[in-house]
Amino acid sequence: MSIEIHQVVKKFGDFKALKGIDLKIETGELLALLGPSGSGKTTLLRVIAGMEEADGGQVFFLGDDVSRRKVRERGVGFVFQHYALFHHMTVFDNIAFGLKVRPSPLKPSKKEIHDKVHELLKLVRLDGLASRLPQQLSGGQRQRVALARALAIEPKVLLLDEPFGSLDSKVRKELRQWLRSLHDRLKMTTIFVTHDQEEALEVADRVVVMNEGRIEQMGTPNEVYHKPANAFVYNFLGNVNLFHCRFENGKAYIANTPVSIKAGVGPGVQKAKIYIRPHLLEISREPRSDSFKGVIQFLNSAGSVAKIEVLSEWGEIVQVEVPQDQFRLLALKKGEPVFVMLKDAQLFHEDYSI
Amino acid sequence: MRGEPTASPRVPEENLKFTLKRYSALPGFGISMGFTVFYLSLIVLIPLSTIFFKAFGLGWEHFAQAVTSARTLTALRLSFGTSLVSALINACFGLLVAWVLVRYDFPGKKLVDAFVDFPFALPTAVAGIALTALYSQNGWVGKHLYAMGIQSAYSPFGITIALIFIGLPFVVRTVEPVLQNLESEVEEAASSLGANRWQIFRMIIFPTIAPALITGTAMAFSRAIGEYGSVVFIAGNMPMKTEIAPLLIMTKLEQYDYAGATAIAGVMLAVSFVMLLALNLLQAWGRKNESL
Amino acid sequence: MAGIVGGKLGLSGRAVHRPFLSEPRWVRVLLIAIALGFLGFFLALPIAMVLAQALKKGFVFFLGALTDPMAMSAIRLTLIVAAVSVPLNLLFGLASSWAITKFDFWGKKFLITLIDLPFSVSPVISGLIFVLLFGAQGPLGTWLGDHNIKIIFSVPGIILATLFVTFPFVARELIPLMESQGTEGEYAAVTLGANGWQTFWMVTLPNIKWGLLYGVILCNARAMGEFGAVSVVSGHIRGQTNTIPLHVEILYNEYNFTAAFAVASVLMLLAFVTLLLKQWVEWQAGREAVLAEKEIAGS
Repeated sequence: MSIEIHQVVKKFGDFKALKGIDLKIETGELLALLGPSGSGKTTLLRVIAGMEEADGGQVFFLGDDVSRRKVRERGVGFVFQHYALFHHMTVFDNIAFGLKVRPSPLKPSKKEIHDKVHELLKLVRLDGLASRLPQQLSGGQRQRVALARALAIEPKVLLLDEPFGSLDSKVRKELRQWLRSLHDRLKMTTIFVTHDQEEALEVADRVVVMNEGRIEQMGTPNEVYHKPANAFVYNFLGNVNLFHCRFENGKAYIANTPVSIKAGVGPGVQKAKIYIRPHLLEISREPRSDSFKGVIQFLNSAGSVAKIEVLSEWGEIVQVEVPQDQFRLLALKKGEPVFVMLKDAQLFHEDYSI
Repeated sequence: MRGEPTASPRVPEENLKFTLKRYSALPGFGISMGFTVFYLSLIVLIPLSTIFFKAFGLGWEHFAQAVTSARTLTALRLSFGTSLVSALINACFGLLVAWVLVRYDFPGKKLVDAFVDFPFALPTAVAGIALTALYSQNGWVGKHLYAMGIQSAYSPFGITIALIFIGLPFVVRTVEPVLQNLESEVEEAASSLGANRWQIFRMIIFPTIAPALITGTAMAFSRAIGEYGSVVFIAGNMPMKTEIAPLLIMTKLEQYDYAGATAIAGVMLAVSFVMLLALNLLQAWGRKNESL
Repeated sequence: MAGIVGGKLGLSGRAVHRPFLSEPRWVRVLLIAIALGFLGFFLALPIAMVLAQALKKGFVFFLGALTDPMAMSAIRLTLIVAAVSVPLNLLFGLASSWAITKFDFWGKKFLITLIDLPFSVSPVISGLIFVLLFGAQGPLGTWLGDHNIKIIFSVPGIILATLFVTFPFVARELIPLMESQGTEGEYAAVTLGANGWQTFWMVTLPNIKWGLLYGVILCNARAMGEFGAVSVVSGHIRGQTNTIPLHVEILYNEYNFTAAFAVASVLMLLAFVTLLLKQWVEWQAGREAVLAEKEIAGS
């Protein structure tokens, strides 16, 4: 089911949580709402669900204006960060709940409910745990029960609010992949909220980056990571180094080092900020015309890449990431003088600020 | 901080033997515990034990005789009956009051909330005469009730009214915190799954507050069976009709029938202890349900 | 164990209002109306009745009833009884909660249940036990008679009975409160060299001050208002062994209704003051809790 959000505004007292959101979500899409705390992503999710009423704008489900419709009439499946399972009911009763509360003509028979619940238990790989209580389950299991419960009512859209936020990182990773494969199977329109950029980039078809109640950028994971629309998106989606550069006679300089910037700049521009990811900097012992000097401050090779901190000639710490095999070849040591080159820098004008 | 692995200190093996008190570095156990036990025994335990000693001293026959006389049985039946009815009425309305106070806003709510404790703070004698004045034949409420054919004073009806009054705060105050701590997310989840408000109340909220409700009702009941001051004025204390058990004890005392008084007191104490035990178990059950 | 007597102190009073997730308006209005109706009927009417009856014969009569010598001696006795019982039970509350919450020992739950006992005993029985113990035919009867010590039908008996019925109030407040506060503060003090009394005065006491005050307020209200137990042990000797509640009963039984209600209104005033103080303490405790939460959150 496609969803369209049109100029949605939401205020809590004086605080503007959503400042005019326009978004279109295609049927069957897996969309991530990504942003820091206070960006409005959870508020937007709750407005879509009907748990908050927007102060302005509209929400359309498949062309129908549902803005004034109550939660229980919207047919959304909502999964909460802290599961919100019914403590006094078994796993079976939790999942069956949505079916049991249906008004009489629509209510399935006992057998139908039984079959459906067990089908869902199998889907979320919790068969055999039907008679357990939530207190007896692990965090990851509880979350899967919450998901099965939401799926039981055959919702038109699945909404997940930081679904893996309260779990340890290993469980989080496993469930992430599992959610992705589940989505591929069910092909249900799914929107999930997260502050973890890795999660959003790994799982989603499309990522919506939000900040302070506005959408900063919408796009595929590739697009938002490699072609960030502004400094905020660039900074939020990964580690970043920031350099201040100035322009003289059409050439760019960082401190006193000339650097080559691919992006052209207009004639009037004098200053800009350069953002570059640590793995896009290259370290070598040979000087080059567009590399700057530095001294290695810190080395950490315990990880998938080697992380190096270089004190630049103008006194700032620069983070560099080097693949392990290259690191071994270079055999760098702490205190060594090296040269650092920018491979692919993003340039933003001075008026973009984080 | 990384460093050399620290050797774990040698811990003396856990005594499998029964330890009366675990060692503590804090001082003052001896004196505080000593005073506690001393004072407790002096004020509570020794006096209470006199009932049992005296009751035992009566011998079984006398005891049974005093307890099973028609007058005593009627008094006990009356006490328990009116207490049960009043506790159940307080359960219904107490739940309602707690719900309204926790969930809704209305002008004067804070004042109302404070006054829920009024029956608890008011001396029982005052409650007694005020209620009697209200429900007597020409009282403000009484005259309407008598016109309808209900004898509100000097009857079990009056007794029940008085017991409702003094039991009122118990259910409200026990249920309020549980209602307050309900997560709204659970209700939102139920709503998103299609449940209407009544279904949410019946299937989600009520089971969660049930332990507290039962506990509060049991407390109201427990208080009601022993109540004296609020009831003795409105009851009229007619033997075999409106004589509650505590009053019967009082009457026997005035007649110097210490044996009789003690026997009835013994029965009531036994019931009180059972109620106390049940209440403790209920509260433990409620706590287990709450924590997740 | 906290149950009715102490529950409020822990609540920070935040009501989560999700207006759309509530019942339809008409249901809300109806429920509020029924609840207020119930409360009005059971609470407001008696209050109004006491005031109406007390002032029935005018203000002068009202004052006269209060300043009557018998009334004055009843007031005096009530104050004496409270002045003795409350501090003693306060001391007990502090001692027992210190022993129970700062230490681990066998039989703790049992001890707590024992402390709760007076709360579940009928007031009449609470008086009866002292009559049995100290009365003429009791085990100590002859010894007391020989030494001409009067316990029952005299002030000491009244004090004992009052001690019994108000026994748990302070302890019931302090025990859950101190339990939830744990022992970290005290251990910290001890490691820094404080002895027992210093630890208690400087660490424990400030933490429990509101709970303590709350317990004392309730203890006092019950001590001054107790009727049944005191009625049994007092002997109803006018001018000597009548507390205010007993005086009310005597006036009432003499059909001196207006005077009875006049004196009763004093007790009702006491109840109002008790409620007021309770609210104030709850408000203070709540404020401190919110400030403490903010501190932790902000750091």
